[in-house]
Amino acid sequence: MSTHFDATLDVKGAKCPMPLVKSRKAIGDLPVGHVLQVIATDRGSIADFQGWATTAKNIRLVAQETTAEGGQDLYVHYLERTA
Amino acid sequence: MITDAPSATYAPPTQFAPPDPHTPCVPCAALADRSATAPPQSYDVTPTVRLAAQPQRADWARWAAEGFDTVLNLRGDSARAAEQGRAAAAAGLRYLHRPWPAYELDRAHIDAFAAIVEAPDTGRLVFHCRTASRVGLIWLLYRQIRHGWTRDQAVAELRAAGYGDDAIETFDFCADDYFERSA
Repeated sequence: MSTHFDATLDVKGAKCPMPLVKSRKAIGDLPVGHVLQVIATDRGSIADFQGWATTAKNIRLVAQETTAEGGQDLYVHYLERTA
Repeated sequence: MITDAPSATYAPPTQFAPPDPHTPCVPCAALADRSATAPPQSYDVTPTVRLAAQPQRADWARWAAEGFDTVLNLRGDSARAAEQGRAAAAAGLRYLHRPWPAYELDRAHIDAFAAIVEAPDTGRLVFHCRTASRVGLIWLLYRQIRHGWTRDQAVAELRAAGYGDDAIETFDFCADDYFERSA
């Protein structure tokens, strides 16, 4: 089952903590209730997004998935703006 | 770059799954041995401060033997931090865990870091996260905010310690974000 999303942020190649900083900025531009899909190549982003979701007041981590593109692992995160 | 929802162009996703228990463990053991003996990526920004990636088993005793006194862990995992704290104590190191959010730092975090760095009982400090990137960002902000250094001065110090272009680009972007939010 695919996860619904409203916008995509491509942070492939970005190093920690850039994916989170860019995601925080991007989700601030979305209406409440919309979901941002973030595509990262940094494996540490899995734990980073989980940690962010436990402390942030305006997001919910909807899902996380792993996939591959051209032999490279991709880590895909879905964040809903809640406030 | 943020875009409207596109159609997916990559392979179908799979949920994270535990490792296959039937996979032979020889490569894992070899990797564990290698990582237990290879020093983590580290950057000595001053004679008393080392910025480092995730330490491995052998590093606690190594750092103690090198004359370091305190290890400050920025990572969020509290279970790992507790385990590390025991390893550090066994090596005679003081251990601090401060899971500050590197993606949303504020002045209080930099002040708290400064208090640790500048405390007389801290001594020689190893400051680590997973890849030594977040700690590099905090060090850059510390130099700019606490010491009044320019961005160029702070970046030059990090470059001299060994950080490359990718890391510096990350520091610049995240530091700009910090100062935009602080304005």
